Formats: sequence, C-alpha cells, structure tokens
Amino acid sequence: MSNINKKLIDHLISLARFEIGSDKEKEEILEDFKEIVTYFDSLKRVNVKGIEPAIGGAFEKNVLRDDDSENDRLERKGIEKHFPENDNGYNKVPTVF
Amino acid sequence: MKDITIREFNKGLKSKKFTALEAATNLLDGVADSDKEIGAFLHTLNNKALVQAEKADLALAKGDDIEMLSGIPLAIKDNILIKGEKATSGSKILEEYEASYDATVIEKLNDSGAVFLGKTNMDEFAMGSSTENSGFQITKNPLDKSRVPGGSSGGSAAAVASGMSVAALGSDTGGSIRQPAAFCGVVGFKPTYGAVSRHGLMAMASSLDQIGPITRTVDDSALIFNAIRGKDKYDATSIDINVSEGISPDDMKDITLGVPKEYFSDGLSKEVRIGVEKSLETLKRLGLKTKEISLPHTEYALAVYYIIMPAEVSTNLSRYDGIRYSRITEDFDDLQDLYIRQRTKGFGKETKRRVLLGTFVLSSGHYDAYYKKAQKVRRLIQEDFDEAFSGVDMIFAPTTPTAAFKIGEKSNDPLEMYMSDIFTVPANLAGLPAISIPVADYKTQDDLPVGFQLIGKPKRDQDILNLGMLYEKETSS
Repeated sequence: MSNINKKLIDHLISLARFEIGSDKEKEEILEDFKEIVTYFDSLKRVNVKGIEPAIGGAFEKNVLRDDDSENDRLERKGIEKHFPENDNGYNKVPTVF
Repeated sequence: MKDITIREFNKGLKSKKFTALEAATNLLDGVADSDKEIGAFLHTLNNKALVQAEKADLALAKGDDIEMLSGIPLAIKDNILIKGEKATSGSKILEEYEASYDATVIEKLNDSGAVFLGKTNMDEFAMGSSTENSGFQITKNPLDKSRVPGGSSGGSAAAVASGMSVAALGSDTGGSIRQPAAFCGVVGFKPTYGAVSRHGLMAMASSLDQIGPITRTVDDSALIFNAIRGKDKYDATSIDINVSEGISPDDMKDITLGVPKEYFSDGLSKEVRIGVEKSLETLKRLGLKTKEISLPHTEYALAVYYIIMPAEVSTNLSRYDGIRYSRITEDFDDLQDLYIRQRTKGFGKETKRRVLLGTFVLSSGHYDAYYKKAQKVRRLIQEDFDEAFSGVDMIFAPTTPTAAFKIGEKSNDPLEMYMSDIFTVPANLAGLPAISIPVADYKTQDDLPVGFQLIGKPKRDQDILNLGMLYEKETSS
C-alpha cells in the first residue's frame, strides 16, 4: 500500500472539488483509505481471465427514442427553479475565466 | 392505528370505522408528539396529506370503488421527489432544494389515492448503514432508542416500526431497504433492478439503486409494489414484470429453496443464525425442499460493491455544484471557487470519503486494477446466482450478520460499518429481487428482532412475495 499516501489523498481531494478542513481529518482519511484499499486487494485472488466486465444491472437493452423533448413533468418554470440564480429566463453562472 | 396493515386500513375506511382524514390527522399528531424521540421524519407534509386524505374520503362518499391504497398514509424517503416539497436526501448541500416534479413512483401513488405524511431521514445521499450519516439528525431505533435503526432508509423503517406511518418507501443500493427493515422488525422489499422506475429518485449508484416498500406485512409490500412497478419512458432501465407468473401458494410445496453455505459462515452472529434457522424450519413445515448450495464468489461481493458503488457515487454527485438545485454559499470568487466552497460546506464526512474512493478507483493507473476488476468479479457473482438458480427456485439467507447495533458503535470504523451490508449487497450486484421478513416469535437476548431474506430469480419478484405471504400465514395462525 505504498502508493496510498498523503500526496495521493491531496490529489484526489483537488479532483473531487472540495476541501478537507484539518490535517487530522486528512490523516484519518488516509488511514481509512489504507484499510479499505487493502480490503479491495482481496480481489487479486480472483482469476478473471476471459471474463467480460458487467457494466450495469439492467436486464434489457437500451431503448432509443426520437430526439424530441418529452419530459412534460418538467416545465420551463421547473427547470428555472433547478438553478438558484436565474434572471428573466436565463440561468446565471459565475465567471469562468 | 399503530399496528394496522394496508388491507385492514382499507377495510376500516370502507366500513366507516374511521375516515382517511381522521387517520391522517391522528398519525400526524402522533409524529408531532413522538418523533422528537425517534427522529424518523425530516419534514412532515401536513397540508398536502390532509388534502389527499379528504380526496380519498370524497371518492369513497361518492360511492367510487376505491383502490386498496386510497387514503393509506405513507412516509417517503427524502431522496424521492414530491413536487413543491423539500427533498434534501439527508444532505446539507440540498437543505433549501425544492423538487420541481413528482417522481414516477409518487405520481403512481398519487393516482392510487395514497396520502404522503412526510419525508424521512436517511444517510446522506443514501450512503450508510445506520442513518448516523444524515446531515440533519440521527434516527433512533424505535425498539431500543440506544440503537441505530439501520440505514440508509432508517427513517422510513423507524416510521413504520414505531406506528407513525402505515407503510413507507425506501431505496436500496446495497441493502438500504432490507437491512433497516431487519433492524426494526418490519418487512423490506427490494424489487428486481428496473422493476420500479427510478425517475425522480436522486441517483446514488445507478446500476444498483432500486425503490421499494417498507411495510408491516409481506402482503402490504406486494400491494405497494403493484402500485409503483412498471416500465416508464423516463427511466430507460425500467422493465415490466409479469406478476401472474409467480409460483402459486399451492405449488409452493414442490419448490426447492437453496441455502448458500457462504451466508452461514463465521461472520454470522449466533443469535441471528438461531433466528433464521427457526424461520427455515417453519418454511420446511410448508412442505418445500431445501438444498445446500454454493455461491463461491460471495466473499468478494463486498469489495466489488465498495469499488463500483463509490465510482458511480463520485460521478453522480458531481451534479451538486452550486449551479444547479441549490446554493448554500454566498461568498465566492469564480466558478471553481463556488464548486469548492459549496461542496466543502455541503457534503458530510462519509460522502466525501466515498467520492474520494470513487475518484481513486476510476483514476488512470488504478482503473484496471480496481474498477474494471470489480466489474469482472461482478459478472462472476451474477454467474454464481445463474448457476444456483438452475437447481433451486429461490434462495434463503440471513439479512444481516447481527441485530441492530448501538448508536456510535461503528461510526468511527467505516470498514466495520460496511460489513453490515455483507448479505444484502450480492442481490444488488446481480439485480435480483430480495425481501427481508422478520423471524416470527423470535428475539435476541437484547430483545431485538432478526430478519431472514428470500432472494428470487430475475423478474420473479412474485415468487418471493408469495412465499413470504405463506410464511406470514403459517406463523400468524
């Protein structure tokens, strides 16, 4: 588990777009991570040669439809309400650059 | 009203013993009175419930042939959307969020005339096995308030077990309906993956999530399942299930029940083992045969689950960015800063841990070793069940390794907490229907209930419901 270290945790935190308040909490996460990932390593014992990955739980094939808007449950007002900041039918987003 | 079933409630309404409005008022008073101690509800829907109840009374007064669910008071897990009502999924990040449409299950229950009493507490975004990870409150087990109700649908299970609601809806990603049902001494049913539409259920791990009922009897679970199931154009994974294909009660004596030896290993506590073996003896009295089977990859199911689930969680939770749904931070510099402040403030500890785990197993350099490997072992777990079902009709197992544990007992040890899902996770990985039923006339030394589990073939939900109903009939006489 040498690759599970503070640097990795810091990298994952930045990818996940949040902060972890204290060093103590980061230390706890690191220790939990080590334990959990060691547990994952039990999978190394399983021979999966020639096995296709199972990518979902669905029993049926995907059903495609015409590319028309159909969701009558979500009216325009409903969609606007999904954005906390909106103005005159426009949804506001903070400055990107 | 405290122990009433859906069927009894329906009879009571029809025979004018009480009105739906009286019942709803009575139960809402009960929530106001006793939920301070339990913490099952995050918010009640008083006005909406009373309007719905009056509607049910009106339909009956007009002489309409009312549906079985008409006027029935239900509690709804807070990750299921009801238009115009708050839906927090137990997370501070959605503290102010109000749903702008009805989930398909809500629309269907509305059409059946059901009454929604309130939204129930849960582990944040359904991530937990004790309801201690809610961003708002801890729910206590109504049977022993020093213990957890299980999770993540702990609020729904506690609402039914305490008599505050007649029945409830929960969601089950790795056992989140069945485990709290077992801990609280009620019935919890996870249908076949896709049998119930997930439209309007906040996604946690999309290849595993399924909505289902938490009720006092198997019969009640079947009634709710029949009202909410079915293909839905808003959920591409949803399917229709033929419930008339279920094994009939008369034919049940000719079936074989598989008992997987891996589920009766060291991890199972003695008290739970004695309980589930007692229920197996009862089932044998009905004349059905049992056969020991092997599901050899069971020992890997939990590792597979705790790789695939966080991977899907980290993806699904990226939508909570402060741009959509709700914003809880006012002070930020730019877009990136908003994301970070919003998510830092809004997500709890376990949610952050799982997002980090998911980010880890999906990141380059680790994807093949963990995520892809887990998907392959998931296939082997599914194949174990396929193989087993070629020789047996249903599978019998414990629901949980132990009875309800103490509040705080496992909250500082995530791996220990994850272990409480060990017997429920495989059914989700394989997409199978599974139900937890309380063992009749049995309590542990601490006076706690124990649940046993029936796992069915894909789309054969009615088989396990029918056998569960037979068990109830056998043990109630």
